[in-house]
Amino acid sequence: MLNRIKYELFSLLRNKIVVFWLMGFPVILGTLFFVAFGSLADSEQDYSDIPVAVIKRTETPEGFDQMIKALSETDNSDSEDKPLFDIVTEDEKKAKELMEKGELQAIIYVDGNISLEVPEGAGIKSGIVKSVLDSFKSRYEIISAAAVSNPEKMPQIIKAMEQETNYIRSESNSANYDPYVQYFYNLLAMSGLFGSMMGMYCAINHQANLSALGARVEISPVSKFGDIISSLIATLLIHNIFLNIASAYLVYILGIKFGVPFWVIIVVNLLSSVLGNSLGCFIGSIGGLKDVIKNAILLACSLGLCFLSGLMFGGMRLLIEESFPLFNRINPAALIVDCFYSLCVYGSYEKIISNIAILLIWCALLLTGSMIMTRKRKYKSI
Amino acid sequence: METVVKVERLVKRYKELIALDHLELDIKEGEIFGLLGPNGSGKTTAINCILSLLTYDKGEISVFGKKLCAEVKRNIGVVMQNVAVLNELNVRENIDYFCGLYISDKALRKQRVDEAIAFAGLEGFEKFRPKKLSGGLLRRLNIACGIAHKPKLIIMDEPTVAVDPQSRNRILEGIEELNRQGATIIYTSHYMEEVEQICSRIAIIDKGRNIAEGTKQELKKLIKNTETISVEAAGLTDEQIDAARSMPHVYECRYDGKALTLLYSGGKHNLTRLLDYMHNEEIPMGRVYSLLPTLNDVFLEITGKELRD
Repeated sequence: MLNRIKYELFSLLRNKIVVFWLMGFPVILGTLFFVAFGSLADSEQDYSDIPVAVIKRTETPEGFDQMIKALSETDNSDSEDKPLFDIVTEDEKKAKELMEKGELQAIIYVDGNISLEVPEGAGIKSGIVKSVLDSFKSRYEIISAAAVSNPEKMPQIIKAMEQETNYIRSESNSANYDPYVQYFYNLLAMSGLFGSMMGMYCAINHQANLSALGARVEISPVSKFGDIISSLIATLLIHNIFLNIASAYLVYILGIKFGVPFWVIIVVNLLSSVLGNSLGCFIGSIGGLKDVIKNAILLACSLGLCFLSGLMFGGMRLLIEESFPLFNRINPAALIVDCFYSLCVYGSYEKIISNIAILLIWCALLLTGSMIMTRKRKYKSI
Repeated sequence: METVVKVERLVKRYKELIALDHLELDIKEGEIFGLLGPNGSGKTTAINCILSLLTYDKGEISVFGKKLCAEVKRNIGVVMQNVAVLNELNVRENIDYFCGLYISDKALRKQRVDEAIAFAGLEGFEKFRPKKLSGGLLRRLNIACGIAHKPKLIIMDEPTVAVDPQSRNRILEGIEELNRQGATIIYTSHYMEEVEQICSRIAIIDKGRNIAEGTKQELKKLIKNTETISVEAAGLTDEQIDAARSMPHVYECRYDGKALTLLYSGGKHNLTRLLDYMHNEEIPMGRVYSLLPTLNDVFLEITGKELRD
């Protein structure tokens, strides 16, 4: 197996097309983004003091006022820390006027339920407000359930929620998020999904009905599963090295502030690489399709998913979130982007973990599908 | 001699098309067994079934007396019709990669790779990548990749397609050398002279059936023609042509105004008899040819002359 891995590595490293698309392309496109968006390294977008109106039509739910208070006040008046929210008004009419003028990022309504109104073409700041509210609502449901089942523990639960709110607030304030950095998140997601090209050839080169090379391998005594695994190990290794070199170039040479530690980038790169290769392996394993068609499907998948996660248009993910949020929960490109985004903006690893879990499920499904399709040793026709 | 490959009543269908129709083959140890047949006759399908790449509808196949398994596969080498090498690896690396599928011991593999390079005449090209090789060298690399692990059974599916005569000769000599070293070889080709040159036994397949099998001599006995004599002679009269036609063992006589061609079925001294007649009649003659039947004649007579796909 080591001999096969060694030669697969040589083969991939010498393949100029592979090197270009997996390392050259993100480096070139990253540089173009960098030039197009100006010197991002120096830009410091302020995501504090987001102007928000809170309209209370009914009594607020338990903990809501504490959360709003925590997010709209600083701990220390001498501190340079600014609060996340600036509660501009609690008057509905005035709030509407301010929103029309573009001076308000969100109106939070409390009317038995908690709802949100954001201006047309809502941006990152509105997204931050939405995420904070979503987080609160999910915790509120947990607390409500706990209040019924364990009312004696309510003080501890509320205290825990307050701590959580403070955590969100402090992390949100310290996050160094630039609105253009999401293009770089998308770039890494796309580079990860481009691994599908290698995954596809990995599958094709090991099946007698798809290539002469596959036939030569299949008539040898090596196990088919072991052979594909050795190939996948080599492609994953190369892909990750390329991805991490490209990432290091973006972070350390161009100075792009991803807002996350580099080890997180390495972990997410690994996952996106596994996902890309699994996707390619799956498409490559489909019998009866020509290589050109498989290539076209892969390219459409990679670019399409990246487009929907905001590669070409930054507001796309938010648009999808408003109209079809489930898609953002299952779109692998959006999940990869969200791993960076959520950690950068909210400082929370919780979202990353759930995203990673979904990505792993994707990988497992795609690899299982590939194995089912390729497990046959004999073919009806070649 | 022990049987190396035995195919019994093999049937393979592609929907309505019967690719193999109760095919029978019995290939003995130490043979170079030629598999001949027109396009679409079922040669490659038969090989793919033997190699267990294709499913089949009926029949039995055994290799070295067993069903194909990893242990049996270790002793099989295949040279595919299409060149199957990795374009990013050089000659030595390619041979080592494919040899590594059979031999894990590094030292033994190195020895085998060196031998394969020498055998295929690829010395001096070890560092070349496939794209830098000529068509002949590429074919030789393809062969080296298939035989480097020294298999006991080598299956070669048209290994000399699109190869120049020099490279072809080199390949054929190599195949004979492999056979001398003890390998049993199954060889398919469209080139009759190749098969005639190297194969000890030949099967002619048509429409999925084994329609003739034997040595070259045995196959040649299956057809009517035993000798073809052609004499350049202008201005023969009808009487002279009729006289030639009525000579013993002549079954066909053609005259185009310049040359007389007689096809014989058996008989001895046919040429002497014809030349005596021409001499007695004082017919001026140019060049005289006497041709024995070739495998090509056998092939065309058995499989017919109509075009195939």
